[in-house]
Amino acid sequence: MNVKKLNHAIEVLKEDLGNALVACDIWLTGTGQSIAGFNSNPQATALFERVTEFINKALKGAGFPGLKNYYMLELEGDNVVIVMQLKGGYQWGMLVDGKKVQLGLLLNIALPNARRAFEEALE
Amino acid sequence: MWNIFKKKNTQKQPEKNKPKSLEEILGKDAPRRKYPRRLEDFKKLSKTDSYTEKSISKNFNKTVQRVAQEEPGKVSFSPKTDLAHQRQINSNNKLTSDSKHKNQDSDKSAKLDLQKNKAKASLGQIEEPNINLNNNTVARRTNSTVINGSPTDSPITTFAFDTKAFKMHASNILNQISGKVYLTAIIGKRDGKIYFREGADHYKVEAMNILVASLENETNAIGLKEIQHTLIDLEEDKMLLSLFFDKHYLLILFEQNSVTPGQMLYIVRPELEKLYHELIENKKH
Repeated sequence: MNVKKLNHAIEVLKEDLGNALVACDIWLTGTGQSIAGFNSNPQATALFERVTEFINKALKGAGFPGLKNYYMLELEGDNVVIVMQLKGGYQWGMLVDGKKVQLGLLLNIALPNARRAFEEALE
Repeated sequence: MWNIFKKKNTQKQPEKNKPKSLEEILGKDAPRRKYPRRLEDFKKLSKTDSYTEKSISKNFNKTVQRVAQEEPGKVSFSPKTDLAHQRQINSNNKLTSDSKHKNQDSDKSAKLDLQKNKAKASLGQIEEPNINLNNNTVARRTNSTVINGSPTDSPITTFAFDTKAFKMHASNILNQISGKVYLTAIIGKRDGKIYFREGADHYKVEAMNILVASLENETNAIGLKEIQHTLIDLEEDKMLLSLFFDKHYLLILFEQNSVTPGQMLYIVRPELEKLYHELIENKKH
């Protein structure tokens, strides 16, 4: 893992989302411990690690297809949590202010850009 | 000089303060026990210093109980025993009153646990939950329906759902989009009961309860506000939209190629939410 490129990936996301990005963390699945982030929240990292686990279990139990790229939770007050599933068993969780960014921009531009930047850091 | 000390040291210590053994009190013929078996012997025992009042009282009570079982009618409770009994009752009452407060505090978390356990049970991870919410209310499951055990509480009427009306209107809403919808289901948050379901049979939607319970617990734990909906990107070009209402949640599994997330979130979702609230409101009246 190239740490400089990892930090660059976070900068890419910050640039795309501007002040809509409230906080984000990248962590390795199974550890729940952040390896890079912006306004890091270790508690949220640990808990969303568990949420991903619950989602995987529930999907499997229900006979649905497995989790692919991301899941998104819209919360009260236009806050949106997105957890991206990355290569190498990493996850990237982010809290976004839904009032300040369009969903289309978030899902179709910001997330793919961030994903590409992260994959460069992995190489 | 040395000898004097030696002599003094070898002299036997007076046995004035030495506590008498049970054998000495009750006689050599008495059986070797820590405490007497006969009630009368307790009178002799209480005169000595070697047994504390507490231990005598405790063992006296044991003996009384045993004699009462073995020889009914022989035992009458002494004031001392009654007093100890009353003390025990008072202490128990105090504990019960304290625990009542604790129960009220833990009621909310118990409800959350109940949801979580039910979800787990539906996945076959744990046995069917049977959790007391508080002293008066017992939630038990029969045929996927929560029955409130309290005689004073009315049954949960808000769970009733006009599935026919929902099916008719929801089909109209979903027909607006030309894409493929694999499954639509409405599930009770608390009871895990499926109130409405349309689509492929092989999906065990009740297993999704674990997700709902965990999402609510986890987001509350980190201080995030209530979840309105979730959108999960799945393999096989599918997507799962979950809408969270007060008492139910609605699941829609759809194909990503034919239905965009935007169509689901901004066209279908508001109409389904409106429909749900209308049906629930009508049911209340």
